[in-house]
Amino acid sequence: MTLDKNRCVVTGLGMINAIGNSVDECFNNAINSVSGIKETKSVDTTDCYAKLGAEVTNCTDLDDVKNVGELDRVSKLCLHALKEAMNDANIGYLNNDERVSVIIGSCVGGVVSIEHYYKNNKDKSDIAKMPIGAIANEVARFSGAGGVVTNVGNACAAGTISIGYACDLIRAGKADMVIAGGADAFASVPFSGFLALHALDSNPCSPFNHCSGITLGEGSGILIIESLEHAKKRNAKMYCEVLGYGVSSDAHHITAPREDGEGQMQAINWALEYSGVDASKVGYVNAHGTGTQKNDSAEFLSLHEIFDGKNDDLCVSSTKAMVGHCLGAAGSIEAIFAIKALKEGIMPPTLGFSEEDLDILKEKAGKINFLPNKAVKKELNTVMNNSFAFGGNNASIIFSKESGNVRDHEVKNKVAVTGFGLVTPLGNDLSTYIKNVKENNKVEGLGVSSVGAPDWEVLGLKSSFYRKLDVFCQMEAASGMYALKNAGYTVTDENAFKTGIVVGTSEGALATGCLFEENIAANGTAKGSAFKFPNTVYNAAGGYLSICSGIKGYNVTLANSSQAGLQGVAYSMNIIRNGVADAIIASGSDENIPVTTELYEGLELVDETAVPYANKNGFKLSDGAVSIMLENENAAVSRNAKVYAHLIGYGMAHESVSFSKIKGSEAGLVKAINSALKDANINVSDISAVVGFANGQKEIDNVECTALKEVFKDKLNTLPILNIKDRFGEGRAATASLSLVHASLMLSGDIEKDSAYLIKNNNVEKTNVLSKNLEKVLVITYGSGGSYTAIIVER
Amino acid sequence: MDDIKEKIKWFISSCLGVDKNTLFYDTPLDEGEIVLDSIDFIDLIGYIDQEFNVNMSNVASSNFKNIDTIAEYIKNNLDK
Repeated sequence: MTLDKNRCVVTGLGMINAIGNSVDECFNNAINSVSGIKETKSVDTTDCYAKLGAEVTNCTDLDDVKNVGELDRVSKLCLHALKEAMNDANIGYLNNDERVSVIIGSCVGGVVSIEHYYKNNKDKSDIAKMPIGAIANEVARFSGAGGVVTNVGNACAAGTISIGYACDLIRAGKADMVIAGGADAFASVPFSGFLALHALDSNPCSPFNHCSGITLGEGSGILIIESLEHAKKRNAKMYCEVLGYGVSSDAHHITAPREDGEGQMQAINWALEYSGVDASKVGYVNAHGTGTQKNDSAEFLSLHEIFDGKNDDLCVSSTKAMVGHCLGAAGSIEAIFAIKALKEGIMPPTLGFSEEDLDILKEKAGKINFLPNKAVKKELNTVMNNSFAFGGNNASIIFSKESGNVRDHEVKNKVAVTGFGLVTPLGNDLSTYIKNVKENNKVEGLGVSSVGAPDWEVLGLKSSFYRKLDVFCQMEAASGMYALKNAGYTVTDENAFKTGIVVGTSEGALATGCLFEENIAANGTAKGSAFKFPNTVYNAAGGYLSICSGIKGYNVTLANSSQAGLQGVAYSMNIIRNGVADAIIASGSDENIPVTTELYEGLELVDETAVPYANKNGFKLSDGAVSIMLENENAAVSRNAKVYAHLIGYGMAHESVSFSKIKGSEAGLVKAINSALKDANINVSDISAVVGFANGQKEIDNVECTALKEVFKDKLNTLPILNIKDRFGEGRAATASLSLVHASLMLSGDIEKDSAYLIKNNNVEKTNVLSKNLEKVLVITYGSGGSYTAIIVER
Repeated sequence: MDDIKEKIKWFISSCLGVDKNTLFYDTPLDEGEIVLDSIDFIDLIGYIDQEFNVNMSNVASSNFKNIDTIAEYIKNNLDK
């Protein structure tokens, strides 16, 4: 039996897609075999061989929301579903409640605003709407959630991973309630990209049938997930329990799944194992079932391999035949279809089978019922949802009327820091970093890193691999491989599935998406590049790292402003503590190509320097990829790894302000720090230094000063505040992660001393810090919109 | 003919990430350090179609061995 403290229940649902504006409307249409696939209205399909899409066309109140001018269509879709879910769960505005978190998956984020930007003379008002990171911030702003706020950027698996992470937070005691789900809007970039790959079907998609391509859709699915205790306390309606989930990585190809289904099967088997549920108990699977030959044949094989001989009564369908492939929203929309099937006892069909097709299906389906054309009634106890994505990411999750036997998530494993991989504007290896600190070298000119032939040679990577990668992906792949090398960690057949990757990023693939859109805005939707499109998804970088390293375990990309670098570390700590992985490469990465600079200049945030507390309007923009090898300490010790430091606590919190702003969100940082102290079971007197995030921009620096004064009070007068941004500039997620590297290297003694700041009542003074005087260091990061992460590092 | 080859070389190096210093007209495109795959060929074929107005549908893979063979095919099919 699942312990009560590990029981997570679904208490509210909200959904919008091409067949409805509410959960009931969508589900009723689905079980009545209504397809929302029509000729697309929002994308110019001139010269395109495919013209179909599953768009939301009958919703008149998408704009009926506060601050509508600040929202991309993806956020409007998400807020529409959110409103329904909050009403359904009977919850109102949450007043920045830090026990309520927001995890939203998306593939292409604010890509409609990217299109608008290029088609409207680079309208600056579009810029803040573009990043995936905006979506969860808007959900937090609307709902008043004040806990962990982030987006999962794992393309088509993002919605499913979001639900899994939500449960991890609840089971780790970090949240009582999580608003989880996904959202994506129909737009020219994904349409053009899938068209270029010849992956779009010219007819409505028919998964597990014709398999001649996908039909893109749009929408959002939102689930309110709570601890059983919290739901009971407020007498909430409960749809079902969320049991276990599995996330794996193919380490194979950036767009195509492994033909043998190895990664898919690993994710499904983990979902079953962590749920404590036998394959024979699953009554219905809402499959990924995209309609492409490669996905459907691999998934077909995976389902047969796992269920044949164990489950002769399995039903499987793909609702994409009705709502299209909603990308980052797909996992959550399909999870809701599965939950409704569980509750209502009727399963939605897979459309598109002719009489002849039905004969062929009978021959190949074996004992699996693929629910062709018509919904089927069945008493269900346990259902599964599968999502597979670009980057070779696989996710599977289980919902049930019963509590299952979910593995206990008691905090057990200590997290050790065992290696670093650095790509920075001041060089790409650890010894160079240490030398730069000793010599106080600073980035001159453009804050741009360089990865080139010498790096690939050292890392043993061939041109046939790295030529495919854009700048962001090259930086991430190189830093991840450097981290493995520095840690002396060899990925083997034995440990590949227990090794993972978590990438945190502010803008991720945004710049590549901009360049892709700029081309098709000028030359037409039919002129998209098949070569460039795979790099427009935020998890491409993590996918490439998996391919070149052979890592096959957890692989997640988080996107929410600069602090995502440390959010990834916190997420990794959770996974290692749980025992789901023994080792994780936690990266913070962001690029600074000319488009990036253009966007930041458009936000009026660029200055020539990044001197903390300089009271400027902007900061020096830079870039980097910083990977930190984190391991279960027992595993690290058993392989005689050098342990630089230990991570003993993390905290994340959010205080909503307008996305792209930070002023007024100090309380979020205070909560994040206090949460980290509580997690580490220490108090402020135990902290011997802080690595801060000030970068010279006055609003950012003021938040840091104000919050630190509130937390540390008089102690702040003598507490050294280290800072790396005066040397490296504002590299966003990269410098967030680099701050943690700096703390670790000072604790390990690899950096013996450094200069620091003392924040006094009315002024800031310089001081020096010696490694030997440090025991526990607090590292803090900020995110526009009011998200904060704090990590405590111990000698 | 060299003009065609130079344009193909420019595309493969500028748009498919191949180091131009290692790319010669007779460098194999399907083995060694380059290994163009099906996704690369989608863009390459699209470029040839647009730049030279040569229909590339159902072209045998033997024409894509290297830049020389691609240029030969283009030359033989110009204005067809």
